Amino acid sequence: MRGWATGLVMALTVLGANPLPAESSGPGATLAKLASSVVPLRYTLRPQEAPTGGEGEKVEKVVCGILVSDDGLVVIPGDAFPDPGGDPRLTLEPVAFTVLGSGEAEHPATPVGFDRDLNLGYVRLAAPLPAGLTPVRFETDPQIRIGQEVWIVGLLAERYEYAAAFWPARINAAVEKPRPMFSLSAPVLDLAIGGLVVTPDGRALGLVGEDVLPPPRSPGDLPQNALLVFGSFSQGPRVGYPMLFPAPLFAASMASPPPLESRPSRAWLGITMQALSRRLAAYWKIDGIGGVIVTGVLEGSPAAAAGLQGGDVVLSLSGSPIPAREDSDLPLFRQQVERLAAGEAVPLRVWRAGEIRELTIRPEVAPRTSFLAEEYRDEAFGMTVREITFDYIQAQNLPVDTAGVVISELENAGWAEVAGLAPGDLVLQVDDAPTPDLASFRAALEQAREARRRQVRFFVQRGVETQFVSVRTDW
Amino acid sequence: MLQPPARRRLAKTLILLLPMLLAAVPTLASVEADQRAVYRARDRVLPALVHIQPVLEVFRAGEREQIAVTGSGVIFSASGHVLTNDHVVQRAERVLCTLSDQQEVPATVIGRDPWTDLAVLQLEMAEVEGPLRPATLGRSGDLQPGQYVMALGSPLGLSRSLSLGVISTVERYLPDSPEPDGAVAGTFNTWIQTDAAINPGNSGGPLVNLRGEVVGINARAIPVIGENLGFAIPIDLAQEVVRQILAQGQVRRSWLGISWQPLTAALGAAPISGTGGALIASVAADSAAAEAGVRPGDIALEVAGRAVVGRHEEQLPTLRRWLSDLPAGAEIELVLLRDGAKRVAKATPRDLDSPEGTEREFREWGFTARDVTPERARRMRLEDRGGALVSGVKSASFAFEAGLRPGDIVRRMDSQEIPGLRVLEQRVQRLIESRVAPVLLEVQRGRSRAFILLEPTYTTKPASSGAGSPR
Repeated sequence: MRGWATGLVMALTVLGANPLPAESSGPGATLAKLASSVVPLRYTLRPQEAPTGGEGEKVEKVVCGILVSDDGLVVIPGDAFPDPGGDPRLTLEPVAFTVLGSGEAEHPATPVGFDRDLNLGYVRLAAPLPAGLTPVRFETDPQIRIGQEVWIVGLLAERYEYAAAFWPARINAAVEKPRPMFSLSAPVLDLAIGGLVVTPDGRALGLVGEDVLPPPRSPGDLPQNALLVFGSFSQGPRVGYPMLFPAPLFAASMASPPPLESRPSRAWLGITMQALSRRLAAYWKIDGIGGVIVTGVLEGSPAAAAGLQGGDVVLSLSGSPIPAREDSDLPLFRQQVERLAAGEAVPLRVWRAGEIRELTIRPEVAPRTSFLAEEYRDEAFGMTVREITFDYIQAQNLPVDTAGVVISELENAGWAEVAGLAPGDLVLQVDDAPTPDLASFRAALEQAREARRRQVRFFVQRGVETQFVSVRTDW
Repeated sequence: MLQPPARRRLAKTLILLLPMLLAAVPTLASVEADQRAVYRARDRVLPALVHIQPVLEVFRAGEREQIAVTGSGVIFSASGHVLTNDHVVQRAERVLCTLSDQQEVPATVIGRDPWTDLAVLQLEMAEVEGPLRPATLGRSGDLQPGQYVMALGSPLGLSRSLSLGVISTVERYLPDSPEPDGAVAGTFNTWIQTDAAINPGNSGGPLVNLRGEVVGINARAIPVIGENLGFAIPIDLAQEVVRQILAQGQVRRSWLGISWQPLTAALGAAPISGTGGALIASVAADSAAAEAGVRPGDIALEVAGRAVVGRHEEQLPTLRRWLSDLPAGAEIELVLLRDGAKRVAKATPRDLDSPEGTEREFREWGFTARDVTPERARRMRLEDRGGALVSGVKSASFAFEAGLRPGDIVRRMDSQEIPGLRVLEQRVQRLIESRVAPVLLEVQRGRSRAFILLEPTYTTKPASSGAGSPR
């Protein structure tokens, strides 16, 4: 934290405004020019859907963005973009993107894409480009070497008006997994995440990205300079480790940013799994680079149809071996699966009790989880229910054909809560009419409403037992 | 102003009322009489009071520990039988009792009933000096709210303590809540609620009326959030438990597999006239009732020729109790009301299993496990009762490092099925003796399996806990 401070090259420019006070020629000037591609970008985080009882919290945040094209495309850290599938009342979503110019100038931008794998977001400035901003041109083949001297170009804090700042560093490691990246010898501050990494003669090698880590089991497991960011309360914070992403890594995603609203229909196999650790591999005498132990097969899933069994070890998928040794490697396998086309026959190489088998699986579109489940809210009864989803059935260890609606929320002191219904109850019947789905549940309440019934009898499953709960109404 | 005739009438009334008014004013004489009544009652029961100091086996965080606790009890026979709470003695076979004259006498647990939280001990009569003065077990059926009662026992270990209060209510219904260790209390009984101070350590001690008769066994209090809220098991129920324990060493109960709700929850589906019937809320899978075609929502009108009464929740423990008294294995008829029509179902109740099950420590590997009892299997929705349920994992142990977690069910070990706790115990013992490592545990975790490679190192000589230990 102290070493680099001495080498810190201070504010060469206040964004695009004043002429450079430093040298006007030589290598310093080449570097300084890059500052006109590095911009402070502000956005507001607010819940995707207003939670019950208010608008929810709003948070303003400023990040470091890089102008990468003449048509105003700006790359920013993707922390603010929520993972799809979160509870919309608990998931914060970025809105009101604004590039902060010199003085009071503000330039609105619109979000255009989010690369979930690289955790990079894309926004676009309205044409024409504000004066003083020039897009950066990345090296197409940067040839990065360990030991190489580089500069990190980021921003200073708000009180220094987000002046562009340069930190010297060296490339100190190259990694291949989960993607080719380079580690930087200098600690990276918040407003340098998303910044540029350039050579001393001003060639742009790439940007400071974050290798998003799987959620840590405990805070103590975090690397020291990991950055904690939050996109969604329900899904936990996203944690990243700052790395140099070489330009070719994100060239394609920059050329056509993955659309934002993509709730991609992901493929799934329908298994629960565990990584094949070196020790388990040695115990079972399985050679190779790793694999995925099937710990459970969901009934009616593609895995069940393919004949996968608990205890099988999947060694390769579509002909490519699975390098899974620890549970932290499993997300990579999941991504591999998600990218498969639904319905297509995919070969699997499987170890089962000492023998290798070749199976064929046809992945399907992953079913909805409870977060994405449809909901119905009844104001009079003061209750919200959602359709039953496979993950609820799994978690409750219920028979797969269980049909009902799950109470997701109860209004304080509403009819339903006063009667003793509880969140998580599975409603099986209302006034003796089965409620296998939202439509039938809604119809049953509708009927009670029309008849102005003074009491409505719910038949619910709570834990392992069923019970009747009569709800007193007050139309 | 009152007119003269009216005034005269009032004077007359006052004269008539005078003795009553005088009686209502507590005179010194009547207070003294009350005091004497308390003394008399105390003197009748105090010699029978027992202070119990069991050493309990507890399993905590993956380890077996022994802790010394205190409780209370009451001698109810000249041959040295002591009535106390089951949770006071739990799995202890022998306990040390201190009688009211300070004699220390060992006792054997001769029978327990976890379902009602009662146990009967037998004092070692050879060690008792002088004759015992047992207390009289009275009746709880005619108790009344407001009636004076005394609680005797050893609150917080302070032996021979007496507190005085009244009965707050005679039929308190406490919902049947399975406790964390699997023990259940309150399924078959309502509670006598009293404001006589009851604290931990009072457990098992007598609740006594002013005649000096035991009317309840103090068992519970609601500490911290509540004050003066003590609960005792009615002595009528305790008498029945004692009778069965003395006769056969245990209490036999049967089980139909029905969970009940009061008829009031049935709404329009219930017959409004009369008081008969109770609502069937839940039918356990694979139970006698399920096989007989009984369904939730049915209203039971009669069982085994006897009318079912369950209009209010206070009536449910009594209903459950007499149903559990039906002999297991003998077919009975249930008269049900379904969709307004009567129907008859025939069911054969089965034995009700103990809610407990044994627990063992696997010290060398650092975890504890218990039996998968039928009740546990039902609550966890397990398809069968195979395996052993991990109840605790000691931190930094081999089991912990390997990733074993409480709640896991050990199903297989090195590819061999583990049908239950006993087999697990034997196999582990053998592996430890032959110093086998690593060991693959296949555990059930929810609906999934997990594969856990345990890699114990045996630097010290194996613990000599097993009989077949080498050297």
